[in-house]
Amino acid sequence: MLDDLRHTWQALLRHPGHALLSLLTLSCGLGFAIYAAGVYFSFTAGDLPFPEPERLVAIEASRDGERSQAKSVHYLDLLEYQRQTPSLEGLLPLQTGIATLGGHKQYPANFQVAHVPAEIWPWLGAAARPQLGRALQASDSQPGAAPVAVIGAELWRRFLGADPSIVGSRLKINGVDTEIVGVLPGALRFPMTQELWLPFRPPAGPLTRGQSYSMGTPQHVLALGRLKPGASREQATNELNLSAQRLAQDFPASNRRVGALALPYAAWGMPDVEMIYLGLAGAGALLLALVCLNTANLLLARSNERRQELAVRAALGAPRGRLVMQMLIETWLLCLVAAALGVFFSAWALEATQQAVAATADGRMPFWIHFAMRPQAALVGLGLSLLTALATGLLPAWRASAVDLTAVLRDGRGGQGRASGRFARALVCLQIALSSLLLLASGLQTYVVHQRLTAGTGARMEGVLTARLTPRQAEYSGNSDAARAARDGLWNRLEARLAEAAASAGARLALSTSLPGGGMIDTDEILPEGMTVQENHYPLGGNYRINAGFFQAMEVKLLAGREFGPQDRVDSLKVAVINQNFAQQHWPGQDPLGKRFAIVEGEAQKRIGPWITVVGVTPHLLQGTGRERGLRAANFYLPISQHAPGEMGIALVGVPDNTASRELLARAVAQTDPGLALEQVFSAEERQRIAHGGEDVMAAMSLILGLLTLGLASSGIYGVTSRAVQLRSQEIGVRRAVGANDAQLMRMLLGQALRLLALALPLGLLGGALALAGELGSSLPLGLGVTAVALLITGLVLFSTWLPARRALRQSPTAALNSA
Amino acid sequence: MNPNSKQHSQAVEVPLIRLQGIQKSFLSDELETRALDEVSLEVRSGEFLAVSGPSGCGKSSLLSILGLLDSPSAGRYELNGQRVDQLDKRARALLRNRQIGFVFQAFNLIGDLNVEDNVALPLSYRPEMSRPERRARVAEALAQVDMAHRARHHPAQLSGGQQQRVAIARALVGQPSLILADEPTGNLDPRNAELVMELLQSVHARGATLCMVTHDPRYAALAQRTVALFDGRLVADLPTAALYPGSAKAAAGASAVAEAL
Repeated sequence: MLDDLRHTWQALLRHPGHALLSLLTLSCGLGFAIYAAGVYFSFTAGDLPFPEPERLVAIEASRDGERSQAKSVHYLDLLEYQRQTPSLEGLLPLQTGIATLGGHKQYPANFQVAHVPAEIWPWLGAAARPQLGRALQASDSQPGAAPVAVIGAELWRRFLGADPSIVGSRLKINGVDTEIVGVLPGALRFPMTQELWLPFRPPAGPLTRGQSYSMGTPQHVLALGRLKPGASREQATNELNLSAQRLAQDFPASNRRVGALALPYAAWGMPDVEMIYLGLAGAGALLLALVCLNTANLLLARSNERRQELAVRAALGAPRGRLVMQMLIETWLLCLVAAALGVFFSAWALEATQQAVAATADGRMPFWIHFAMRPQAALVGLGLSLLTALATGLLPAWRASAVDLTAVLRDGRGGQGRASGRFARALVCLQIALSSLLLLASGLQTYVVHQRLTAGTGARMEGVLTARLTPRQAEYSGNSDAARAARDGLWNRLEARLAEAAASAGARLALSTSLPGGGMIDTDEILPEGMTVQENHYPLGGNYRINAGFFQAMEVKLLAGREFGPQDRVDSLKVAVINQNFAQQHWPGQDPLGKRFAIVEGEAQKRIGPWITVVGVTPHLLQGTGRERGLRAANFYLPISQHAPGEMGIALVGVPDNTASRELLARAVAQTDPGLALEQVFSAEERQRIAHGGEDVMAAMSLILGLLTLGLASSGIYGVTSRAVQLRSQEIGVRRAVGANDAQLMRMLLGQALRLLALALPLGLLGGALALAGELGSSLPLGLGVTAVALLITGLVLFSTWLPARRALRQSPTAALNSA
Repeated sequence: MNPNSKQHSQAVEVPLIRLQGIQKSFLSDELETRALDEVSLEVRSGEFLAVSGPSGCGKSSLLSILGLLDSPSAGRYELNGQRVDQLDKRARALLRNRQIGFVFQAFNLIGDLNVEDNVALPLSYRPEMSRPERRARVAEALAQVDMAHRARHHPAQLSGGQQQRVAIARALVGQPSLILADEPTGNLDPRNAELVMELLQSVHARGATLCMVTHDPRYAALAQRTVALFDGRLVADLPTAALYPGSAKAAAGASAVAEAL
């Protein structure tokens, strides 16, 4: 074995070109796969600072076996689960949200808050041991207890100037005078991103189950459990599901088909991780397959050169298994070194990803997620390198070891028979199919993401300062008449103050429940006038509320009709401005002005709301990130004066994002209500960039994947195709001997290449198109992509055939006849 | 079979092959190697010529030039009265297809094609020939070499002797003026070698002009005439009977040995 290793090492050094090319190819594929594994483990491995973190489980409701969202467990269900899950040592409810914290010397600000029961702190161990003061205790949750809070050390330093007298001081939290009783370590963001903790109290009001399935209501909570020593999550899930089945029988309206899942802590609030990883893993697997093809071809060519050596070894008594092992050792060595290189480059790529994500996460990334190389990913790399070595090297090794001793030793020829030819053609087909699939998929993905990132919103984006305001004080919360009236008054006063502030800065004011280019998407079912609806299937429309003069402020020229104005009051005709898509989808070829539609309210029992008259038509504005129906969305805009929202996006148009502008904005809000806190204060462009979040990263990855694929496809197609031609050197010599001229031979070779292309290319293109069909808004980019990839691959194949064929035809027929 | 090949050159004195002062040099690493040096030779239509000599004497180079696979560095080559040494590649290919058949030591059958397709290969470069005519010629050639029953088999399924018979069929199917055989028995066992030589003799007997490179004096003795090369030069050109005095007995002896095997 040592001799074999030594000989292999020397052989690699003697053929540095082959070794380097194989190494480069392998490290591309392995590097990407290791990177994908690194991303997965960064999400799921979770450097949780708690004692025995594997015993902490997040309990989520499921519907028909599928996960719902984080706040999915009804409080009454939780009480039942607490009683009936013996594998859990404890099961505790939590609530999360955003709270407005009034500072001592600065404007209020919003922070992520968690309402937690006192029993949870021992589960968190030293990570939750207070630096100052105390943690929350059971008495703090009692009805009538004085409001208290615990804050994180980062918040204390950042927002409160690390005030040494913080413990015992009082701050307004959501307008409520609250005593700060403790400061927890800065690294803690329990349960996910929170740095402010309040005592948990059961949901207010009478606890009732709904008449239909629901989630995310004030009566739904997060649930955290702790397994007993030796118990498993599967056990807990089974027990929870038994309870859920009993609840379904007792309360079919709300609990039918509802189950429960016990998930690892790190899965909390991360529903899309598996989808992200599947996408990455899929791309990584395809790239690795392409790499394996390329490397297998290189190894096949190499093994061809070693036939004489292998024949001599076999003649001297080496068993076949030993010959195979000798060939495999070379592949393993290359794969191991490539994996090491892959780990190195992946570590760098993960660090770059961490920086990119951190810049756009805006505090939304759970605290345990840090993109970095982990031992698990390196182990995956090691495992993959062994698998790749087998996948890449086993077949060439097996074929090379099956040498016709007599033929090779007599005259150096090995009889390239039908099997060799078929195999070579199969390699060419596979290479073409895989390359075109990956090129099309990565190219389209890059295009799609680039389009989204660079798509204009339809409104002015530069020189626009934006912010978000969600009044969280008690007087503004809820659906009571008093709360609605309070909100109406708030928005009126706010609009007046902000308009004054904007005017003083020479700017314009725009208010919207969701500003273009990155805000939330809010959709409602609608009934356009004249439409007949089947089985309660109403179309959806994006619902956004704006102030009068919004479109003018955002420099959007209406296509027809008018903006909202002072005549659009709460007691006047209900009006709306619709976008072009809405008009085209529901009233094609008609004048939409004067048409009416209604919003459909309710879930189980749907009812048609009052008719709303269209008074204006706007060009399409990009609401959200464009990912969700994006450019095809049918949106409608309602005046704030008639539909007061619960939260508001603010845009000062015509001011830079600097301290002065931010101060102007904050002062206007503070003058309206000193307890209000602005959040997400960014320029419009920054806001859009943050909203796209990981898409920047995805775009970069797609581009890298595309470039890697292009390089691998080019070298791979050239490698397999030219090798297929070289294998036919002898045949070319024979054909020339019987009278074929160069033109006839070239036509034959190119024709055969085109036939293989015709077989493999459509398969690859179909695969690539299917992979991204759902992402594309129209068929145009797909058509262009298919054409571009088809032309590129065809060009590559023809060039890769023509060049070696030209070389073979330059060879004298005698030399060709003697080659094999 | 080219009807002209049956006509000896009594009435028409133009030899099938005329080489005058043929030279072939190879340049490698700035070193010139002269494979053929002033070789002059004539071969009449219907003649069976053996080319012998030690390894590296230029036999295969001579055959390559005769077969228009290679061009001489100097000298003149006439084939059937036409000067061919200065033809371009396309014209040489056309002539090879129409007038020359090859039999190689290593058979050189194409592994991907079956026997029938291998034999049909020269005809596939004659677009004027119809498919039925092509099939008929292939069948005739295979019958000549007694391989019609293996038409659908692939070379890997045949023995060495069978492969060489197929190669001979391929050489015959185009009805060439000239058949060039380069060590046709070199890769065969004695029995199959004997059978192949019998086949070649029968081909010659039917009027083909045959030039055969061989090491083996038993097989050289079967030719009418032998030319010997040494260091690229033609050093002997004699009737075989003169070169191998016991050639008839040698031929008979070789057959007896083959029969005993």
